[in-house]
Amino acid sequence: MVEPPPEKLTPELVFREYAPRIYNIARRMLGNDADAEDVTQDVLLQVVRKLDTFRGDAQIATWLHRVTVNAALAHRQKRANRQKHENPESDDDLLGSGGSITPGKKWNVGPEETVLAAEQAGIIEKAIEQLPEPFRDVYVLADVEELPNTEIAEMLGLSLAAVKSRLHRARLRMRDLLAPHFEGKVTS
Amino acid sequence: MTCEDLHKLLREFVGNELVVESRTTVEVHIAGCPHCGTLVQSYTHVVRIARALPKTRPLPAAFEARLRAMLEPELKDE
Repeated sequence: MVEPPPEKLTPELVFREYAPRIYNIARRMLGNDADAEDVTQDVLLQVVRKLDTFRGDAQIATWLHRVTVNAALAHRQKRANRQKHENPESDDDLLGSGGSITPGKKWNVGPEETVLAAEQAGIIEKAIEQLPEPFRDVYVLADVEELPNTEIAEMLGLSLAAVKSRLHRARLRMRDLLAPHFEGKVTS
Repeated sequence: MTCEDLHKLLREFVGNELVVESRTTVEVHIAGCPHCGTLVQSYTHVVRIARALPKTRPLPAAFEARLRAMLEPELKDE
């Protein structure tokens, strides 16, 4: 079977295919629409101006993840500087030591259930917004975007061990936040 | 294996990163410990639901219109 030729990357194609993806990553990392819009605008301007330098979809997708994450982090830093309460040293303390795990009750979900109702998706998005930023970044990139931990470590300037530790603690926090919605409730 | 030992291996167990021997040890513990069984089930679901979230959703209409207007020169330049 002959593969169809790859579609030529045009600004319009990039806009249609990638603007929603950029927006979604930025929205989840930054937690609000206005900041996500600023980042999407910055990233799209960069990409359409450099379009000639890309050889295809795979390359541009990888690059866009990286540029979007960088732009979101830079935007957050600017915002923190304005608000004058940045405190990066305490990032790892935001979820406590990570040593205590609440036992909880069994969740009534199917073993292979992966289709989310709109209401469930909304509950999960709200829980993600409640994660402290350093943990939210890792959770969004690892579990929502499904990027490899090594790539996330490079993007965020963290060690691989730090990524794994933050991911684990973010998941435990998500579990606590979502428990009231999933424990002992029968889902269809 | 104690519950605390399992907690330390939870991420690797759910991520299927453990060697067979460690994996079996965890599975034996879970089979006899309802608390850890519950923990593994809910932790696994937290991972699964994140992956089930939509990776893209349409841009808000008003923002898309503003963005298109701003990028108009580039978008025209095919």
